[in-house]
Amino acid sequence: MRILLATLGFTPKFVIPTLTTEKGVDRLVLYYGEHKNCDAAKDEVAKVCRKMKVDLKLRKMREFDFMYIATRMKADIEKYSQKHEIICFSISGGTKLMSAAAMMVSVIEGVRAVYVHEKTFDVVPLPLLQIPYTDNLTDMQRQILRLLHENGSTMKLSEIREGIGKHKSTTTHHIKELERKGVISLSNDEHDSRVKYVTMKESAALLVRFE
Amino acid sequence: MSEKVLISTFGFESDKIITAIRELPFERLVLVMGKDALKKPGFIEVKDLCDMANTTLNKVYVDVFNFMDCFKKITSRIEKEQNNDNIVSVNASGGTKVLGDAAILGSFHCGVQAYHCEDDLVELPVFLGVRFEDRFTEDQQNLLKLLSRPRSYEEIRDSTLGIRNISKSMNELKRRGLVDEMAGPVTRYGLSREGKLVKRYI
Repeated sequence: MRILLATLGFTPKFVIPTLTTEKGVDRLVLYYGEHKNCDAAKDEVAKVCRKMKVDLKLRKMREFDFMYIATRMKADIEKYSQKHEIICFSISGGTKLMSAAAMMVSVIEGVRAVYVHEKTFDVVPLPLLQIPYTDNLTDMQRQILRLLHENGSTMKLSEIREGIGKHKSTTTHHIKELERKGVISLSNDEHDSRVKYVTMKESAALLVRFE
Repeated sequence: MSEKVLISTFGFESDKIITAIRELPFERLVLVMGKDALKKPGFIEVKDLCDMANTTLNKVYVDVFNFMDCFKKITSRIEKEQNNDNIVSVNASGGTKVLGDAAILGSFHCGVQAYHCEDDLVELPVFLGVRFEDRFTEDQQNLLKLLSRPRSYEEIRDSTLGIRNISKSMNELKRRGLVDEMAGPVTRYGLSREGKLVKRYI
């Protein structure tokens, strides 16, 4: 199945052109806001989908919560990409926040993204790589992030070492690399300077993949 | 001496930029905006604030409805600041959707700290210092340049660029959706639509 993802606000024209410019769309996953005008726009897109025999999956979103929106989009991409082909993400509809979340998730997940021009309604492809952003991490670094995510985002360095089953120097090397890349930070225990804590940046949860 | 530079997208309203100014440390502010924002009260408020704080304010003008124009100007500004050893961060919450999205993509391309700032400040998970071109080997970069026009395997092999492992690089670029294979009496390889876009930023 070929899947198109799209954000939608009040203007159906920000979504509908991509249904024709992208070949063979079988399903449209539509992220839209809670405002009543978004419902009207959604109904119009649904009408076009029915005519074109495109299956429609609706995702009503809290429009002003960036991390919530990004997390839900990422979960969908992970789910769909296991069995289906995600053609692209059309990111120009919806609130600024929704569009920004779609842009960021497309970069992180390596999904092709397109923009529908606000005045001409032309579909503009964006220069994104179709490979996950986490290709910049080693398997061990990905494992450390997953471990941190599963344990509430902060752990003692010694707990991480035990969790990944590696030598102290190997663990420290990977932790330093993640710190250099800016996705985690290190701090000392205020009572015992020998104890170090590792904290993952909140948004780094978006870099964790659940195989 | 290096400076802390905050590059921020800007529309007509000062609210979001003021939240960013309060939360993010910087010594110089670069506003990326449309020319018509200059006359708006929001801009005058930010300018006054910078004057009072004795902070330099730079402006970069873009077509706020043209994604590629915004993206190109933001990335080249980030690169200029990086080349001068300045520490750059980006706030992507002001201005049009196009401008904000272009700033997010630009931050990921250049590997600089980026923030989205509505009611709360959210730091985006950019790998600092990891640039767009770092995701390609030298061979892959050369191959992308060479395939500006479609070429056969033999033409690639005989080129002066000295690409060492053509098949490996080619397969990887195909996997990333950047190179298409064109069937014919002789198979040729050329850049896909995305490949052409990507090549411009390497």
